[in-house]
Amino acid sequence: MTRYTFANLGKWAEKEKRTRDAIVRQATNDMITQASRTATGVTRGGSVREGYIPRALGTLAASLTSTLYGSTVLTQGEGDFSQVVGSMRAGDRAVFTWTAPYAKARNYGSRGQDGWHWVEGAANDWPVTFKLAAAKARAITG
Amino acid sequence: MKTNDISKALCGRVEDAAILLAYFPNVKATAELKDATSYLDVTFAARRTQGSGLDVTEVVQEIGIFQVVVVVPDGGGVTVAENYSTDIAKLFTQSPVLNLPIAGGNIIIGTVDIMPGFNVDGEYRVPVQIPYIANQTM
Repeated sequence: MTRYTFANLGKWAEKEKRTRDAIVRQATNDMITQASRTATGVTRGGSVREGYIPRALGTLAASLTSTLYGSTVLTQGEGDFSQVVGSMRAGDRAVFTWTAPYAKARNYGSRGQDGWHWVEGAANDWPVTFKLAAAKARAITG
Repeated sequence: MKTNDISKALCGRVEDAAILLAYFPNVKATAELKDATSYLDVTFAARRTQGSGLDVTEVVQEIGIFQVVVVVPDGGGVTVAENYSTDIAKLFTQSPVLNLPIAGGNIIIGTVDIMPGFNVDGEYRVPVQIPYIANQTM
């Protein structure tokens, strides 16, 4: 393990900053990966599977947009959130949205159909996701 | 972890408040509920358990999101739905924190979120999400 002194405090601070950024990117990547999982939709003969996105033609899953800082849409498309996640630093605000017109109805539920709750599933697991990402980053950076 | 205790405590609080008729998980709807155009749709949006419970004195935690969706007819404006959703949020809000007792433990309620409403199939729906942590010894 590297020993830091007051003289090289700046190096320690830089290392900690890189570690924090790595944790944020890993945790966010893992969370959106989990939230992006798909399962056969009801119209294709499947049944409601909580925590998954229903898939028929793939339009809903492909409607994921990822935005960093809320000002520019950097990426769009199924699984294509890597550019935003890769650009994130600790303290950044990133927004991930499924923009298909029926996305809310499928996630929260509607009359006669239970919600798939893929957003809530990933959000509820966030503390565990973050902890695992932190452990991974610490193991790598020491 | 006795999931039944948690369901009873959370669903029971909504039922006792009698804000609107409500669909509860796996409960058959009455004829009156089926005819209702304004109602609540109650479900558990996410649930996970922490702690093995192998030792009878160990506290097992269930961490989840309890969801109450306010449903009103489409085209009637947002105020009606927002009033109901505020009533639901108030039901699960207490300073400094709402603590519901259950057998062998308690349920701590987090900050309630009223999500943006949306139109679907002639209805306007406003989800109210109630995060909770239930602690219980087996």
